[in-house]
Order: sequence, then structure tokens, then C-alpha cells
Amino acid sequence: MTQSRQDTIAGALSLGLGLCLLLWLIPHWVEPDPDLRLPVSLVPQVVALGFIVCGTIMLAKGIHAGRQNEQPEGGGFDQGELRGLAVMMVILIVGTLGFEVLHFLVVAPAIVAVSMWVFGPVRPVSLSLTAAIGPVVIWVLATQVLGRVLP
Amino acid sequence: METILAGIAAAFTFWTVVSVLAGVMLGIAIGAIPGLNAPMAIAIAVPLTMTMDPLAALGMLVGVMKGGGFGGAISATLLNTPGEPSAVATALDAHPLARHQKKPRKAMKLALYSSVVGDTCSDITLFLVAAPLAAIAIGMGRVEQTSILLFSFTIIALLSGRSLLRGMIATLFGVLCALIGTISGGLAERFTFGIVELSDGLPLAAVAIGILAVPEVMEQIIKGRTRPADAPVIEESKKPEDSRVSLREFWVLRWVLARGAALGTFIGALPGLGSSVAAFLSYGVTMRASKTPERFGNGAHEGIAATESANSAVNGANLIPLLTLGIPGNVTAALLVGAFIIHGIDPGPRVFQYDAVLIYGLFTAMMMANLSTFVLGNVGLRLFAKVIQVRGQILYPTVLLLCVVGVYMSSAAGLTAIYIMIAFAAIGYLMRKFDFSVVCFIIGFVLGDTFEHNLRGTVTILYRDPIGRALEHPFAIFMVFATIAFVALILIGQARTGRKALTDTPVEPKT
Repeated sequence: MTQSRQDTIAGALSLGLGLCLLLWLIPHWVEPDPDLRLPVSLVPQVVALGFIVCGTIMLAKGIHAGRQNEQPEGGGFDQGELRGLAVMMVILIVGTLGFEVLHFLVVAPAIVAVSMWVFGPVRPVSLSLTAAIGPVVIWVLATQVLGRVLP
Repeated sequence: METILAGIAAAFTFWTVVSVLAGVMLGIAIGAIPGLNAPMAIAIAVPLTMTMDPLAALGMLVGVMKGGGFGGAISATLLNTPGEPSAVATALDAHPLARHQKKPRKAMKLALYSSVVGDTCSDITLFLVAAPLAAIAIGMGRVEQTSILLFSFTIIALLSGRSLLRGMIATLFGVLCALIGTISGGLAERFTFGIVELSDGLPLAAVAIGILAVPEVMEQIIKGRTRPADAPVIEESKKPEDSRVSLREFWVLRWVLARGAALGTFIGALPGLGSSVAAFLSYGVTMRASKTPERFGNGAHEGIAATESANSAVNGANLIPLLTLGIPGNVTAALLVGAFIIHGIDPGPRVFQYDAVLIYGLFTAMMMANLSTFVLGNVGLRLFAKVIQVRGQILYPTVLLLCVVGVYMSSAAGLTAIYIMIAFAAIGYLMRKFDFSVVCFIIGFVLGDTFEHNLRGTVTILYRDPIGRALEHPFAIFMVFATIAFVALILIGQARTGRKALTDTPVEPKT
């Protein structure tokens, strides 16, 4: 992804967030407090204005640089990486949902095993041992040594 | 004096000593692994220290910080893949010394000793200047504090990221996230979306681990990174003198070490400039001052000493703005703020009034951590060198699980905290890809509440007669002008460099 494209996307997101804050989030999700001298929404509004100003400048910069054709390659990520990120998110969300119904020692090995599988080809013995030992060690450390409760 | 002695005595309890040792070991081990670094280790360790005594907990965290600083040099030396970004400059000379001159142990020991010297000098400076500066800072009102915060946010945004705009957006986002929950000093809730667990605000551990540690671990897993297949095999010379650093060899480096420590301490005391800047600056200055600059990059002892003394000296000095103004200078200091708050301590100038024994205990623990790094680094060098051989496929999924457990244990929000961590992991991943500084975000998040408190106070004071009242605060006016001048200077400098780069680039073809 070119730097100008990155600037354009990031600027548009920042501008969008600022407008979203001013027009929707602050009016609907900031409660008033009559006991305070200044409105509760003061600092959120300052932040929203900051987003709008910075976002607009960055958007304009991105569009301008795009037209100038000075576009060195910047960051961004490819399709495969995006897919990998989505898979990792799903693993973590499903794992957390799993913690709501199942014991830590059931879900945690599954999270470790699936993450190892995403990492790349793995020998079954290595996978089984890591998925079994790691969570058990963490569980013993947390519950028995530190005396904390795990899901 | 009595307080200082009480602090020293408090640090010499069994559990504090054990915690410091454990922290140093953990720090060296994690710092040595490419892809993992000290801030990530601290983010994960903060929840583990919640049930500990405050001094033992802080001792463990500074141990991780100091151990991590040296740990980065191990993989820089052996793999040419620095564990810490600040160790990139170390690799320039440490790796050639290890690989081409077959002196890996000498390179690592030189890095260790230089690191300990830099750390110790910086800690002594912290010990000497923190209390007097805090005494001055304590007299500042809200207007002055707001101006200092604005100055800090601006220079952190300018110096930590790719551009001022990106830094400002990241800082604003951090402040916005800090506004979630019940307003301090009131009952009104903001941006909680009816979720009860958000009333107390976003848990720091969930946000910090989510944005710092999880994206890095996920990236390693997604890209399937492991130890590079073509990692060079390091042969070791059989001569005993090639495995140790003699006193004479080290004495020759005294001015390089002193300069590195001074530069690192100065840079560490400024918010926003990290250990990487200190390391490269020290390396550059030392090379320019050398009569034989051609040796640099080929295993010069001065190169290793300059970088390691400077990047380690940043550690202690980072706590100067934190303990005198309550402003963390970098991510590590920001995470330490979280640890302070978890243990009911308000970091800032008043800490010397209310928790002086603890602070002097912390200073003692820092010196203890330096000594521990020296001893453990020497004794366990072989063992720590083995750590870099642990397979990523085993390591990263386990670290990911540790992140989940750490977040769950640290927060009363339970599983909601894990969902928050996941959300911030995605945000952190995107921020990295779009070159937004997570340092700015974390500092904005940690200081957001303080910023709001002071800004509201300032508006209340200046509301009726802004100019007349502002003139009663000359220091604040000075800080505002300093901020504007600083921004102008940096932007003009960047514009000149940019123009120069644009005109220079086409002339030199890449080879």
C-alpha cells in the first residue's frame, strides 16, 4: 500500500471518528451531570475536534500526495495476513466464549493447539505436549501459587 | 535521611530480593527472544504482581525492565536479530565480534558490563535529581500541569511516530479511550453503551496487553516466524582471553561508557525519546570521536559499549518525568504507572510526600536489579543464549495464552476484560500496519484522566478573564510558547530533510 493511500484511509477514518463522536456518540452516550460546573462532554468534544482537524489535514495530504505521484511503498498488509488476523481473532473470541461454559483446562489447550496449527506444520507429538503442558503450568501458577481464580 | 535508610531497609526483605531476581531473569530471557521485548514482558507481568507487596511488585517490574535491556543484546550478538529495538545498534558491532572474530562470549559480556554501567549511572542521577525536582513540581497548579501535559503530548507525538499528525491522532485516541467510564469527581457515565463492566473505565492491563503484546504475538503466529533457518553458526575461539573482558580492556572504554551513560540519561529524561535514539546517537557520536572510525561495524568494542551504556541509561532516567511530574516518558514508564495505580500509589511529585519510603525502596531495588543483571548475566550467559533457540511454534501460542490469563486475573471485569483485550489487539495490529505509534496511544490512555482533570480545572480558572488570568501563570505561557517553538523547529527541520532527500535520492542509484 502506498503512503498516500495509507494517509487517505487513516485521515478518512480519523475524520469519520471525529464526526461520529460529535454527531452520535457524545449526544447519545455521554450522560449530563448537573453537579459539575462544566459539561461532562467538554473533553470528549475537544478530542472529537482534534480528530476532525488532524483527519482532515491527513486526508488532504494523502489526496495531494496521490496526485503528485510521489508514492513510496509504506506499511499495510496483504490478503493472507488479513485472513490470518481474522483467524486469530476468531480463535480468541471462540476461546473466550468457550471459557464461559467450559473449564480453563479444556479451552486453553484448544487455543494453544489451534494457534500452533495456524503457525505452520507441526508434529502431533509436539502439538500434544505443548497444548497439554503449557496450560497446566499456567493453571498451577495462577491458581495454586498466586491463588487466583481462572475461568 | 531516615526515610532513605528506611527505604533501603524495606528493599532488603526476602520477597523483594526474590522478586527482583525473578524479574531480571524473566527480563533477560524474554528480551533475548526476537519478537518479544521488555515492555511486552512488563505488560504481561503487571497482572501477575497484583497480589504482591507493592515494593516487591515494583521491584520485579524494574527487574524485568533492566533484564530486558540486556536480553536484547544476546540475540543481537548471536543472531544479528535484536530482541529489543534498542539493540539494533548493538548488533552492528556485537555480531561481527561474535561471528567474524569468534568471540561471542566476549561480545555478550561487553554488552552486559556496559549495560550495567549505563543503568547504574542513570539510577544514581534519578536518585539525586528526582526528589529536588518533585519539590519544585509540587507547587504547580492545574494551569501549569495542563501546559506541561500539552507539551509532553506534543513532543511524544512528534518524536515517537512517523509524523506529528499520526502521533496526535494516536494520542487523541488514547485520551478518548481513557474517557470511557464514569467521570472522575462525578457520577455521569460516558461511552459505556450500557455495559456495566465499563463503568470503571477500560482496564489498563487489558488495553496494554491488547495493544502491545497480543498484536506482536499474533503477527509472529500468522507469519509463522521461527528462528531463521539461515541463522549463522557462531564458532567460538578456544583462547580464554577471547571469552572474557579484562579490566584493562574495560578501562580503555571509560570515556565511551561515561558519554553513553550521560547521553542515555539525558534522552531518557525527555518524554518521547526512547532507548533506540539514545543508542544510535551514542554510537554516532563515539564513531565521530574515534581516531579509527573504520573499525566500527567490524566488531569495535567502543561500538558495543557506546550503544549498550546509552540504551540502558534510558531506563532509570525514564522515571524522572514520571516521579517528578507524573508523566511517563515511554511505554515502560506508562506501564509502571499502571502498576503504581494498582497498588494504590499516585505517581507524581506527591509520591515523595506520601510514599517516600516506597520510592527510596524502589531506587534500592533498581540498584539491586543492576547487580542482579551483572551476576545473573555472567553466571547464566550460556543458559540465556539457549533461550533464543526455543521454537516460536511452542513459544508464541503459550505467550498468547499467558496474555489471556494475565488480563483475566488483573481485572474485576472478568471475561469482558478479555473481549476488550481482543478488540485492542485488532486495533493495535491495524495501528502498527498504518504506522500509528502505540507509544502515543498508551501515554494518551494513561494520562487521559489526569489531562481531563487538569483541563477542566484550567477552563474553570480562565473562564471569566482568559488573558488576565493566564498572565498570572507565566510558566504555563512559557510552556505553550515552548510547545509551539518546538513543533515549528521540528517541522522546519523535517521539511528541509525531506527536500534534501528528494533531491538526493535520484542521483544515487541503489546497488
